[in-house]
Amino acid sequence: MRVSSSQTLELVAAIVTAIHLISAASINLLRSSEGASIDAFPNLLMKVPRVETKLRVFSFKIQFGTQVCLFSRSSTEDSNDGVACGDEEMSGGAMNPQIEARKPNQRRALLRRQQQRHYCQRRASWMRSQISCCDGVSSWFSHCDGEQIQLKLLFSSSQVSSNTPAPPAAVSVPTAAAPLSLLLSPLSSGSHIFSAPQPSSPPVNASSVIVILLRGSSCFPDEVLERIIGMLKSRKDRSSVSLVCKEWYNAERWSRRNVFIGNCYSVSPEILTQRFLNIRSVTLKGKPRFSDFNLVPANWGADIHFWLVVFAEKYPFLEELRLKRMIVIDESLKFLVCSFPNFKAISLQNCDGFNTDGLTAIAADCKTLVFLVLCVLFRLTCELQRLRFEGVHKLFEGCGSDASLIFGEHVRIRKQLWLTSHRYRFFIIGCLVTITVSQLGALLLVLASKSDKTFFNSGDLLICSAVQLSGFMLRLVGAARITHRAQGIVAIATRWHLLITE
Amino acid sequence: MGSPLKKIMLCSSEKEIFSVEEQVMVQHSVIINNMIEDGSYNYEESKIPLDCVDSKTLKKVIDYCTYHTHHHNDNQEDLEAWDAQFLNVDSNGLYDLLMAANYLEIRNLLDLIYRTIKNMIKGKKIDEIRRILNIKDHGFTPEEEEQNRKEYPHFY
Repeated sequence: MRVSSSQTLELVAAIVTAIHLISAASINLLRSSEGASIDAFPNLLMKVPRVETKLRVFSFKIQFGTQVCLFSRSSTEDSNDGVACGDEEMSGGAMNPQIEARKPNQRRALLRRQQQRHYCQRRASWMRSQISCCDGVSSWFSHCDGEQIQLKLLFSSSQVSSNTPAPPAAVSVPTAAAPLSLLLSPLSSGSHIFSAPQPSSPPVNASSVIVILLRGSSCFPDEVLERIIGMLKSRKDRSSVSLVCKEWYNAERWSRRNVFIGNCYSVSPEILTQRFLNIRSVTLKGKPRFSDFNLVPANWGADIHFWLVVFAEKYPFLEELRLKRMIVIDESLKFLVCSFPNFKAISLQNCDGFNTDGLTAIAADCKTLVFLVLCVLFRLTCELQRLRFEGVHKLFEGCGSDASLIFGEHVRIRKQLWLTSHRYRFFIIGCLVTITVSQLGALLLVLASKSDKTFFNSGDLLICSAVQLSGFMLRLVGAARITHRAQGIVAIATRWHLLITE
Repeated sequence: MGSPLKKIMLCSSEKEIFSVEEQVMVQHSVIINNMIEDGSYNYEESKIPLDCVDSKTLKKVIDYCTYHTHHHNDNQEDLEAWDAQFLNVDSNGLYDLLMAANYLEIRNLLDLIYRTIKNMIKGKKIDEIRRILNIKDHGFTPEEEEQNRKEYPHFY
C-alpha cells in the first residue's frame, strides 16, 4: 500500500481519535449506568463471576465519515514470489505483520497451496480450451511449451499438497512429460507437420521432445516471459508489451496483477475476467467528476455489486479494491468479506450507499481493528474492576460491624483478583511481545523494499506504530488506574481492621 | 554432501565434458543440487547430460557460477560491473544463456537476465521491441494487427 502523505496523516489521526472516542464513550456509558443506581450497580456486578462476559453486552458503533475510510488488513503475504509477482511489489508496503506472530504458518502455506492449485486448474482448463479449439496441429504446437509448464505446475502443486519433500526434478520431469509424449508420438511420426530443428537423433524420452520443441520456437517459454513482463511496472509498458506478439499477449494476460478501469461502464466485468486471469488489485472509477457537486442524478448507477459477483467467481484471490465515486451498499461489503479470503485493503473514495453495518462487517474481519478493540475491552474491564473496588469501599464504610459479610466479600474479591491479575499479566506480556515482533517485522519490511524511504511512503510502519502505541497506552492507563484503586482498598481495609481490633 | 573439492562432470550437447567443483554447481543450480542430493550421482563414472546447452553457453554458465561462488564477498559494485561485462553478448547468446539458466534453474543468473531483458524493452515502442528481440512472427492475424495499429498508434 503506497499511502500518500495526506492520506497517511489523516488515517493516523482518524485511528487515534477513534480509539479515544470509543474508550471515552464506553466509559461514559458505564458512568451513566452507575449514576442511575449508584448502590445497586457494584453489588450487581459482584454477582457476575467473570466480568469480561458482561462486556459482551456493549456494542460499539463507530461513525465514520463517508469520505475516506481505508482499512488495511494485517494479514501478511510474503514476498517470496519475487519477480513472479512484480506488481505485488508495488503493494509491498501493505505487508503488516501485526498478527504474524500469532498466526500459524500452516494457514499461510495452505492458502498458498490453494492459490497454486487454483492457478493450475485455471491454466489447465484454459489449455484444454485452447487445444480443443485449435484446428491445425501447427497452432497446437505453438502452445506446447505452455502445456509443459502447466504440467510442471500441476506437478509442483501436487508435490506441495502431498507434503512430501520435492523429489528431484530428474524423476518428476519424465513422469510429467509422459502423457505429453503419448500425445506427441502419433504427431511426430507424421513428420511432415512437425519439422524439428534436430531431426538427426530420434527422441530418447519425452523430455527431450519438449526440449526440441522449446528450442524450435523462436520466442521465450511462457514462464520466462511471464517473469520478464511481471517486472515491467508501468501500465504503458505493459500495454505496449501485450501488443508485441501473440505469445507476449498471452503471457501478459497471465502475469497481470493489477488493473485500472477509468470508467466502470467502459468495459464489462466479463470481458475483463476473460482477458486477465490472475488479477489481485482492481481500481475502478464510477460516476463522473461533477457528481461531487450534485450534478449527477441519484440513480445514475455505478453499482459495484455485479462486479463483485463476477470477481468472486474468477478472482478468489483478490487483495485490493480501490473504488472512486461508486455505489457500495452494505450487502456488497458483506459479500466482499465472505468471498475473498486473501483480501487486504479497500479504499472507498467519494463512495456512498454504505452504512456502519457494512463497515463493521469489514472491521470484524480486520485484524488491526481487532487489536484495537481488544485494547478497548481491556480498558473497559479495568474500569469495571475499578467500579467494583468502589463498591467494596462503600461496603466497608456502610456496614462497619458485620464481619462475616465483609469477610465473605473479601475472600471472593481476592480470588477474582488473583485470577484477573494473572490474566492481565499474560495479556500485557503477550501484547508487548506482539508489538515488538510486529514493529521489528514492519521495520524490516520497510527497510527491505528498494524504494526510497521517506517519512510518508513508509506509511505502514507509521500506522502500525501509531495504532499499537495508542493501544498500549490505553492498556497501561487502565492498569494503572486499577492498581491505584486497589491500593485505596488496602488502605481502607487496614483502617477497618484497626477499628475492629481496637 | 561432498567436500568442496569434489568434481562433477557436465556434458554439453556437443558431448564435450566439463569438470566443475561440486560446490559451485550445487550452490547455484537447483536441478543439479537435486540430482546430487538424490544420491544417484556416481562421482567416478556419472556424467550429467545437458542436452539442450551447447558448449559455449555451458562454459559461460560455469564461469558465472564459479565467479559468484568465489567472489560472493566482494562489494556489490564490483559484482555488478562483472555481471554487466558478463552479459555483454549478442541477443542470440543472451537467449541461449537464458534457456540454459532456465533449464538448470540458476536463480541469480535468471534474475540477472530478466532484468537485462526488462531494461532492453522498457519504455520502447512495439516495433523497436520486435527488432531488438528479433521477433518476426508476431502471431496476430493481419486484420488484428491492422486494428491494433489503428487503435493504439502511440504504441508503435
